[in-house]
Amino acid sequence: MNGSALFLRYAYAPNLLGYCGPADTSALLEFGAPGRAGTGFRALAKQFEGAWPQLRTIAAATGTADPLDGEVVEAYWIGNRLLDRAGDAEGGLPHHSFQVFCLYPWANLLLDERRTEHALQVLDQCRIRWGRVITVGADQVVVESRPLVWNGARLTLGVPGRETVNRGFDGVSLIGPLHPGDWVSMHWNWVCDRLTTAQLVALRHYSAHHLALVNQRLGGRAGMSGPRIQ
Amino acid sequence: MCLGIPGRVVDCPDGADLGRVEVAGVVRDINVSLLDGPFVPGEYVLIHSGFAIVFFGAEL
Repeated sequence: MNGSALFLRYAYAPNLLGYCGPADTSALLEFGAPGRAGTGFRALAKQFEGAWPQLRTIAAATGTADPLDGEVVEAYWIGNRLLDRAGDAEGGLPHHSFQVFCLYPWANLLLDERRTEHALQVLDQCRIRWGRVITVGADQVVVESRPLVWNGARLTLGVPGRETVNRGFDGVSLIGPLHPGDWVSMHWNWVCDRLTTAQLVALRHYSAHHLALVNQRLGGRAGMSGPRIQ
Repeated sequence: MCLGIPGRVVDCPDGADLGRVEVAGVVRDINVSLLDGPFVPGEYVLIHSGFAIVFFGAEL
């Protein structure tokens, strides 16, 4: 898939919320839509000051010329074989889950009782999570997924729950039709993409890797145990 | 995805969870409930994912 369009699918939600990237979200849509990507989008992508260096790291480690190559972008947001050639000495990989769990301040804020609830919410929404579509509406879908939970010592995935997430608004939709039973990825309150089986496995795998890493750093144990959705 | 970015407090009513903070020239609603106020206009905070997480004071 076109790397710019894929990047947009995952970066759109936090940009719309004003958390990162350029101030003008409409510019992202203009340049990042399929078939329109060009040099304009590259300049916008560089303004995602957390993601862009990771894309460059993956590209450099794998001999890929373009940080917006589709496979590089997929490696960062979802995970794929490229990551296994791009890790650091301490086990961290240039995957979005590494940034969320291990680099951002939120995991450490779990240990502060006044901040635990907010920190857990941010960790859960900021990570790329996965779930299965239950029902499909015009601009929203109901998805079943396993939320992050914190037991005071470690992060794990909890029992499956249902949430309503956006898939478009005012005619803007970045992905094709969805159907009940589809597996999708989500970022904040948006559906990013429909996942293939391989992508679902990769997203689980690399998320689990960094969940284990952050639990180790927090003094707990790895945390992907618990019931599966399916 | 995102790095923490500094913002300048524009307006933050005492005791409110949300304050108006200027970030890179754009004024946004930022949740300040994780920090102890009060916040005076002109003071700086570090923002991540919509929350102010570090208080800098009047000078960066």
